[in-house]
Amino acid sequence: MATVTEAEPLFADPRERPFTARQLLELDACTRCGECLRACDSFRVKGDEGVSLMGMIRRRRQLFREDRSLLRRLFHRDGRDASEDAWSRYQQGVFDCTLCGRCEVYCPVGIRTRDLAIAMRQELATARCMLPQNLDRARDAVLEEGNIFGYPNEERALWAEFLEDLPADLLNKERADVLYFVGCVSSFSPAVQEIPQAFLRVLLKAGIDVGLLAGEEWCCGFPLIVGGLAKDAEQVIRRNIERLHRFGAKTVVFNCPSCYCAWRRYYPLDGVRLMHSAEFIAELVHSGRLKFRPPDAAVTYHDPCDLGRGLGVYDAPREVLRALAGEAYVELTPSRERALCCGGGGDVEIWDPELVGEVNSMLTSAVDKSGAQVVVQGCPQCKRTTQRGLSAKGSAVRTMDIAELALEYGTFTIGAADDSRPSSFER
Amino acid sequence: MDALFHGLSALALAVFAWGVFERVRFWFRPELRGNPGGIRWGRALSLAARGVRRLLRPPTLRTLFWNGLVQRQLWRESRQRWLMHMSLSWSFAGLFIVGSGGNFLLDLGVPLTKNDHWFAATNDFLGLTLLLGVAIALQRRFLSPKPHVRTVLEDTAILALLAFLALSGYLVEAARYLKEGTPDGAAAYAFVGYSLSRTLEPLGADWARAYDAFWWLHASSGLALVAYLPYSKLFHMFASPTTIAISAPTAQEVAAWPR
Repeated sequence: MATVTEAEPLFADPRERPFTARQLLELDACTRCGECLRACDSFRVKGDEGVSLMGMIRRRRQLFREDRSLLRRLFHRDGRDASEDAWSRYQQGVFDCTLCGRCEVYCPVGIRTRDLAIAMRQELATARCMLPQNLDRARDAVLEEGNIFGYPNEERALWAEFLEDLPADLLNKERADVLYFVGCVSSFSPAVQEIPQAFLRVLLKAGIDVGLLAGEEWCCGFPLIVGGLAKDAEQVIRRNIERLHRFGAKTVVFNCPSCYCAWRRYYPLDGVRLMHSAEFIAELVHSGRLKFRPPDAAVTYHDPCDLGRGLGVYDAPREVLRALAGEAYVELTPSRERALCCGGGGDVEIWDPELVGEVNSMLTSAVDKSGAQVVVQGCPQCKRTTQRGLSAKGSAVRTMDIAELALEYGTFTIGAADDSRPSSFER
Repeated sequence: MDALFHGLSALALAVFAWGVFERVRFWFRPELRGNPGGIRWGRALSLAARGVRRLLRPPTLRTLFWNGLVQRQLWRESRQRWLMHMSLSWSFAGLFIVGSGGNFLLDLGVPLTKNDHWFAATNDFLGLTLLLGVAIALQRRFLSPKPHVRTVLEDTAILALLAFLALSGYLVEAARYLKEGTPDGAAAYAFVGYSLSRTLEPLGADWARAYDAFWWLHASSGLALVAYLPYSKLFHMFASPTTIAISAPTAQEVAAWPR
């Protein structure tokens, strides 16, 4: 297991180097073809091109041009910066992006749109001190309390205390084979606390030696990284890694794709297996330890952005759902790489909560059209926004996390694992 | 006249080269800045070597072929847009190669004339496909604009310049036939230039002077386009294939994908 020393920075200092060479090249590669506008749900809602990647690139290029123009170099060598209004319009668009990454799939020239948008946020937040005020508070909450909500972190595992069948020592365990990293939203948001409750039960029913960090678990750092505050995220990342080492687990499981994405992409770890709940449940199905009784409703699946486009996990949840529902599984349109955004990503809820609901309404319309009675998701934030959106529309469609589904329809067999069947999710 | 043209060509190429240098320097500024702000040339060389190594890997070449040359991504999104972009990019590249390559061969003493069948036919055909691309672009931007297509002055100016280049090329060819006489078989291989010459003939103009005027218009607009290229969105013809090439997954990325 790799150790991280204080001397090793995890992220470049954006004040010195806001954009990489690749990203500066990408600014030039954009042809303003507008394909990203077709993909952008924030643009459809706002009607402002500046929230799309094309608009962000166009505005940033304009700001670069103003800074580097010949006239400026001749007459304003140390003069004024580009107008504050221009910067502020640019900032509004950059922070209204949900970072869903749909535009990356549509972009014909292969621009890594999410990374570019995050770099733009980093530059604004750090090099230009233009972090939106609410994000400022969220950062303080993470760094002072250890969670994005600013609640006392000791209350992080309150959701588990409501479980009647919880083993007495679970919350006091100091070592376990598997660490369940719950994440802030699942831990603190009452609307989705059924998810960790269900997934923990799944883990226990499957006979897994699992433990929680409870109040010692801190925010994964993802909201800070995507908010443009990667340097601030370093300290929570180091803290979580240090707790993991102390816990001695060789596998970490997540029900939150953003936490999973943060750990997979930004945590310098060797020899530790990281798995999302959908992948874990798919393995149980493959090994024969989990069997389903058929559901009484048609089900569909919504790909969370960070799990699908972010990490390429599309097949594991579908294998679970096909094993469960067979013909009663219907594919959402659009799905997989082109799946719609729930609106809850990219810290937009902190900065522009109204936008979340409006973006989400496109997803709920697609869910309604699918004819399914249950929409399965693999993300607490997606579930939170979607159930709110469906209920606002008066829709009867039920939202469920994949772990809740496994618990409700699954039968677990401990010790009867058919290990001869290869798991397609082994890494 | 030749000296003037060569002088203008050198000027256009110098402006082009400076623009490209500025762009590339801008991309690599964060990678190459040393203390106190100077360029680290050793780092530049190492980056260049890494880029070439990466470019020559089969996955990069495959990605470049499908997404750069064949423009598969556009084909998937819209057949009309694919046809437009293929027409514009391949015609532009083809005319540039045939035009500058032809002049280069002439300078080397290769017995090539503008009346060589393959040369005239290629130019006439590529001019038509360039105009087809421009026509589709105008239709998409102005006649039935797509909601996601945004048009700024630069887009219109570039389309106008491309159309002007193609049309002025045909005028040069037609005026030459009227000035020098039509070679045998021109109707078959110089199908546009020949037809245009027959259409213009009744005007009874001084075709020698007309030819000179058209030639200079065509040549100077071509040189203007070359000089303008790195300062315009046309520069994406270099930047976009580069991003496509570096977007090809590395072996480590492929290995890290969930299976």
